[in-house]
Amino acid sequence: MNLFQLAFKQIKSKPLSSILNILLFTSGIAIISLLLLLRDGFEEQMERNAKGVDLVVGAKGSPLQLILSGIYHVDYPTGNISYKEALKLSGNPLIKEAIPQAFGDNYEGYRIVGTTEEYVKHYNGELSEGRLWNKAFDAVIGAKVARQTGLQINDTFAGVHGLIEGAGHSHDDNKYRVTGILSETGTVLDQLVLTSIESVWEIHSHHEHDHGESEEHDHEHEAGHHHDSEEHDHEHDHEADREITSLLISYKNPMGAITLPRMINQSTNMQAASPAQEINRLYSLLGVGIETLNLIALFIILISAFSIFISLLNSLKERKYELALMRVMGGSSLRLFSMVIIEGISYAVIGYLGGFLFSRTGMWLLSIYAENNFHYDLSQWISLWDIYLLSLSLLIGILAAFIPALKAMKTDISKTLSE
Amino acid sequence: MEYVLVTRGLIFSYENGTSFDFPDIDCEKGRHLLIMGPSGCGKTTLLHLLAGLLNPSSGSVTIAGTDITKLHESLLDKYRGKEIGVVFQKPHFVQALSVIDNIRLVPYLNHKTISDQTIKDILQRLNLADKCDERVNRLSEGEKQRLSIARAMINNPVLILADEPTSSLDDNNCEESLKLLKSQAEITGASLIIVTHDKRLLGHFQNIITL
Repeated sequence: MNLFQLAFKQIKSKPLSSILNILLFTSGIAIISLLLLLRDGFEEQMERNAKGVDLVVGAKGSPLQLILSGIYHVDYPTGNISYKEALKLSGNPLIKEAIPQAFGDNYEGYRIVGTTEEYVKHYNGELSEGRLWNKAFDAVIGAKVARQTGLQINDTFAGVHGLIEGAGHSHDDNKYRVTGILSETGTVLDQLVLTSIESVWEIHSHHEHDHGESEEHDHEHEAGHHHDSEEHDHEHDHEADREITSLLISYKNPMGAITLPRMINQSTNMQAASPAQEINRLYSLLGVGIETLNLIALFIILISAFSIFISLLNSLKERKYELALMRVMGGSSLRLFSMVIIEGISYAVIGYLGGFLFSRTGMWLLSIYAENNFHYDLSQWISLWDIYLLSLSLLIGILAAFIPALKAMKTDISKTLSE
Repeated sequence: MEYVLVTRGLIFSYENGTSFDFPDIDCEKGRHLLIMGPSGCGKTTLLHLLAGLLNPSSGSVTIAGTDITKLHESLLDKYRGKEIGVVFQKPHFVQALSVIDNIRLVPYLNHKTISDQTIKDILQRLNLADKCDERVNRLSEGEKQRLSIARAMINNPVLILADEPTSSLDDNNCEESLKLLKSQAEITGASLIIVTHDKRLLGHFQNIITL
């Protein structure tokens, strides 16, 4: 027998009030732990994908939307920009690297992005099989795309118009051929189908030839497909009229941060958005909600601490005679003190373990949801916070048990026994 | 002759002014002692003094050569656990624990290890072997009494103090209980000191002190 067994038996002997204590503690810990895990997973994805991108240039609109579509491929693009203008901007001496992207189609929900090899290099992508694209309709698929769709080298597939699975019509005339599969990078690269910009242009110029002006209005509904309706179809081959969706820019030096965004926003009809700024804005928008939930969870933990305190106090009142008996049998007052403290700690630790399990289950369910809806893997199973939360739990257990433990220690044996 | 208990000039005063002046006690090792007295004469107070649960206003209590009134509290706890077993009038136990765990608790509180076999032997001797895993509140009064005797014996103390062990029992059970206490004390070689107002016990003791 030891103090832990003793504490555990005491807890077991009062199942109802023990369950209440543990349930309260568990809910508090589960909510906080889940929020922290989500935040960590979210922030890590955010930071990993925005790494090295100082500026995203796209059509005017919401800067947050531009970042979300341009870097993370979750939102719709703000529109298209002229390739000619983008090229001109890329020549700016303050720019180290400018990666163009053109997109608007998907394959089974995975976005097809026309870009350059720099995009792959930027995320340190490596081919696990095959080669990169070298002619139109060559496609390189990310690791997750390969895993989920089962596409293999030399398989062909048709892109579907739009960015949502099954929403648009299929470009059956121009099928892509898989020439390469990337190995897992843990970045947005895993969930994209990459091809040359020319392929994307090609598909949509053909598309326009085939369907003519009558379907022009359809395209205007799709944010990614702003083919200028004033233009004539035969002009599509001209480089000057080509469009891309956005440009990912990294600066050569910090001067870029000072002059480039203002220059782009004021003197061109394009928009420049800084990922760092927009992500911070997103955090501060979400922050209110997260803070509120955190406060509620802390409040629940406080209530549970109070409930542990009260139930220990009550049960010790009932067990006063038992405590005096233990002293008669040779138990020191320090022993009794530790016994009650350990009872408090046991509640907290059981509650913490419950919270740990619940938060992981919640994380698992949420990551399935995020995977299905955004193709992002938010799952994060352990973090440094777990240790902080465990310490917090122990502290709360000790604090809640401290006064009852002092009372137990100071029990007047003779008086209690003669009552 | 070796004395297991010697008291000299024991006086105890309560805060409300009530004061008790107890006669000196000398109890030889292995001999039993009956302390008789009517209600309110300070019997329980004396028992608490002998067990070191109360500190006398003056005087000394020497158990197996150690004056326990001079011991520091934590040492006293240890000494009490090791040398003294107490049987109370109304047996109380730790409700959350089973019968056998209530016995196991005693060596644990005294930082001692006693094998489960020894514990089971004692329970067997007191006819409680089949109740080992029972909750204590499901025992009958007689079983509770026997369990509290087992608990007082488990550490092999030199002194067993019993506070009114028989006063709530009928004649048959009184006799039975007394026999049990005596025989168990003899097995471990302990001295039994009973504090009571129960006159039925008078004929069973050679050494009697009246308060």
